[in-house]
Amino acid sequence: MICVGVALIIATAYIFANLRDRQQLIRQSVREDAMWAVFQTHREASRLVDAILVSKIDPSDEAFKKVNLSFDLVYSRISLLDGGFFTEKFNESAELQLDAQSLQFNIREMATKFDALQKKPIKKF
Amino acid sequence: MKYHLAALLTLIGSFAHADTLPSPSGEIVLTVAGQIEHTNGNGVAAFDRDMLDALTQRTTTATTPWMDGAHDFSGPLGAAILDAVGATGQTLNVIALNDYSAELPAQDLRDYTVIFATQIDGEQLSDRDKGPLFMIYPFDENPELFNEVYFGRSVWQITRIEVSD
Repeated sequence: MICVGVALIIATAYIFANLRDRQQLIRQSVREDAMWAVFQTHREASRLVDAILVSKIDPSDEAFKKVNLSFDLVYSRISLLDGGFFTEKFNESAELQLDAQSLQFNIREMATKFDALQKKPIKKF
Repeated sequence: MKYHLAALLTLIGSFAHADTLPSPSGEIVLTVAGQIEHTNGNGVAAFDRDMLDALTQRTTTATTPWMDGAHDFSGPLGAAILDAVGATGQTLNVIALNDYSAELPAQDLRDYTVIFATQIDGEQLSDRDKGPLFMIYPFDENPELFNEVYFGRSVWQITRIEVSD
């Protein structure tokens, strides 16, 4: 009877340890994914700034296409901040959450301007 | 007689070409290159949206780490794309609009009902929402796929696939 009891305690401890390790792995994975999302957003935003600067020097159709594509890529990254598993991670920090909301608002404002620009013919100087 | 024979051969050739892969008439959405047997110009297989829509389609209801809740993703089966281009290589390098790429075994597309989603919940995927093509593994039907390995292979904004050994 004592042996069975000891075996049960060991088995329970083993299960708890496994569960804890698994939870830690999931947390680490979500943290890494959140970092990756932020890194990607930053990289695409830098590319957008670069594309805008190039289009100012050379206002060609190709340059404007690149600006539009870069903006679409930034926009697609922004949506990661309020959807899926990443939201949970960002919501852990009130400051981060406010920054994310502000960023989303600004990008969505820019989207309406980009959409309006696409409907107008491009003026070349 | 020679002219008739030449015309006949040209006609047979054009039918053979049509049987393999037609040429795109609209904007090119996907380009497949590398070890493929069927091409439609410059050694690559280019697909417009109509060509992708003509392939065997599937709707996968899946929960992904990047979106809230389950969604219905629709698009051509990955295996149908491999068949259409006559892919002979074992490895796929799937490349996105921003040059992000992921390498995966072509066998994934045979073992699982992987789709290249063009639509989400009946709406066309735009570049702003992980379009034009979003590789979706059947996460809900095969829960064992719901892990980092397959998340990394689930490339979105796909524009090019390179097939190699």
